Amino acid sequence: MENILDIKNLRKEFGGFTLDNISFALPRGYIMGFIGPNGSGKTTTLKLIMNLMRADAGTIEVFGQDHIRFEREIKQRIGFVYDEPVYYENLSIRRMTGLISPFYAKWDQSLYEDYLRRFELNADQKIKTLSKGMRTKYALALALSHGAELLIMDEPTAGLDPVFRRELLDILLDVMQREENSILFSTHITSDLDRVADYITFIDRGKIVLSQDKDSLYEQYVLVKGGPGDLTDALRRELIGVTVSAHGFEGLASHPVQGEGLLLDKPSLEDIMFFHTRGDRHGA
Amino acid sequence: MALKVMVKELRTLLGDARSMLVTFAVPFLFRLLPGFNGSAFPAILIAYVILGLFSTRADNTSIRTGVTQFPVMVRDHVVGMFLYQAVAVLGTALLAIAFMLIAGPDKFMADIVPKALGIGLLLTGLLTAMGLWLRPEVARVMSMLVIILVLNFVIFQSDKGPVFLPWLSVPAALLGGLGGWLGFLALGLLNPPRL
Amino acid sequence: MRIVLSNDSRLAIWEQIVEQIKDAIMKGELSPGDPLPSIRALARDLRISVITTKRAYDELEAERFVESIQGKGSFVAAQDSAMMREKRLKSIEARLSEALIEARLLGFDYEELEQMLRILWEE
Repeated sequence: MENILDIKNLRKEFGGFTLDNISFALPRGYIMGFIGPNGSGKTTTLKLIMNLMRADAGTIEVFGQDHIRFEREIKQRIGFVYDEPVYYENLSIRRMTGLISPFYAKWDQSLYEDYLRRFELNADQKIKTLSKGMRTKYALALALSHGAELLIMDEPTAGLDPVFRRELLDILLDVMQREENSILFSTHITSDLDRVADYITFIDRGKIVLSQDKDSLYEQYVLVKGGPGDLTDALRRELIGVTVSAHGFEGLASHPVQGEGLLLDKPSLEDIMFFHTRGDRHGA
Repeated sequence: MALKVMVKELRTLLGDARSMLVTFAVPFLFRLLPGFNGSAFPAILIAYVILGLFSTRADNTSIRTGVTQFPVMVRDHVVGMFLYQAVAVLGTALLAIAFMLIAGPDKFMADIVPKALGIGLLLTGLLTAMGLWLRPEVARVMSMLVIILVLNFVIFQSDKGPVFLPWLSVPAALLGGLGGWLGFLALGLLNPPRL
Repeated sequence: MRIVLSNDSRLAIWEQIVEQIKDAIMKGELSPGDPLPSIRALARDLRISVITTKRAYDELEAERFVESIQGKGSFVAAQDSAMMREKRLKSIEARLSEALIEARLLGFDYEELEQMLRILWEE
C-alpha cells in the first residue's frame, strides 16, 4: 500500500513555537483526519507540505516524490482548500477561475461548472461579496476540478453551518469512491470525522500524539467514569487526563481499566483530544 | 511557469478596465496641466504607469494569492512578477513612441523613450524587490515616494534642452536599466518573500 | 439490503454490519450469488470509514458467508444447506444463551422461562 503523503522527522522553529519531530503517513485511498486544538501546529504542517515555509529539518514526500524538488508536479495533483483562502477580491468568480484554470493541465471545465451549480454559486458574483461558506465552496470547486488525487483541507468546516458540513462530508465521500484519491482533513471540529475518517493523526503543541486507524483508536481508548470516591491515586496514574466534579469524575485511559463501580464507555474523538490536551492537569 | 505567472498578471491588469484607464489614460489628461505637456512627456507617461502598477498590485495579499491559488513555486511567482512589470513598461514605451509619432516627434526631447525605458526598467526592478522584502504598507509608501521623486525630476527636465538627460548615453541607460533589473531579480530570488 | 447502525450498541460498527448481513443471508433476503455493494460504496452510504466496511467484509469472508472475486467485487457465497443449518443453529444458540444469561441475572428460574417460551411459541 503506497503512501500518498509521507512526513518524516519534520521540524520547524519560529516565533516561540516549535514543530517537533513530526512524522506520519497517509496511505493512498483513505481519509485522514488531522486533529488538534487551535495553535497545535496543524496549519504550520500543511504550509510546510505546500512549501509556503521551509522546514528546519525532516523530509516530506508526496506521491513518493520530494516535495521541494517536484513542487510543480505535485501541486498539479493536489487540491488545496485553505482556511481563509485569499483571492483577487475585486474579481468575479468567473474571472478568477479564468486566471487559475490555465495553470492546470487536467482542468475540467464542465466538472467545475457542475460543482458551481451544485454549490449554488453565481459565477458573476464578486469574490469580496462572498460569505465564508461560499468562499469555502468556491475553494472546493476549484480543488476538485483539476484531477487532484490528494485533497488537503485546512479547517474547511469552520464557520460553516451544520447542514453544509454534512453536505461537504458527502461530497468528500463521493470523491473517495475513486481508490486513487486521498484526503487530509485538518480540523479542530472532530465531530465531522468521528464517522468518516479512516485514519486519525492527533497533534498537540507541535508534537504528534498519535497516528493510527480510527477503528483501532476506538478499541484502544476507553472513557472511564465513576463516583467521587472511586478516583484512587492508582487509578489517576492510569488515566491520561481527568475532569472532576461534585458528582464524580471522567477520564481517559489507553487500555481497559479495572475497578469497582466504574463505568467504561466509548470515547469520541473530541474526548480523546480533550483529555490529551488537559493531560498534565490531572483533576480539577 | 514563470511565463504563465507573467501572462496571468498581464491578463489581470488588462482585464481591469478602470485601473487601465486610470493608469494609462490619465497622463494624457494631465497634458492639459502646465509642466505635463512639455517635451519630457513620454518619460512622464512611463513614470506614471510604473506608479500605477505599484500602487495597486504589489502587496502581500497578492503574493499570498499568487502562491496559494496557483500551482507555482515562490520562485515562479517572483520571476513572473518581474517579467510582468518589465513587459508593462516596455508596452508603455511602445505606446509613448506611438504617441510621439502621432503628435510629431520634434515636439519631444531626443532619446527620451530609450532612456526613460532604461531608467523605468531599473525602477521596476527596485520597486518589485522592495515589494518583496518590505512590509506592504512600508513598500507602498516607499514606492510612491520614489516615483514621485522621479516624476518631479522628469518634469523638471522638460524643455531644458533638446536632448533628454544629455549626460546619459542611450546604451548606458538601456544596459544599466537591464542590468539593474536583472540584479534586483537575482536579489529577489535569493531572498524570496515570506508567506 | 437493510443495514441500520447504532452508535449505542455494545457491538462495534463492523460487528453490527457483519451481524446484519449474516441475518439477511440466513433469512434468505440475500441469495447466493447476489452482489454486495463495494466496500467504498457501502462506506459512503453508511457514512463510515472504508476500513470499517473492509473489516466487516473480511470477517464475512472468513466465516464463508461472502466471497470476493478479484476485479468484480463481493458476492453472497453459495451456502450448502447443511452448513446453513449449522450456522442458523449457532445463531439461535447464541441468542438463546444471551436471553438465558439475562434471565438468570434477573432471578428467573427454569420453569418461568419454559412457560415464557411456550407462550411465545404459540404466538
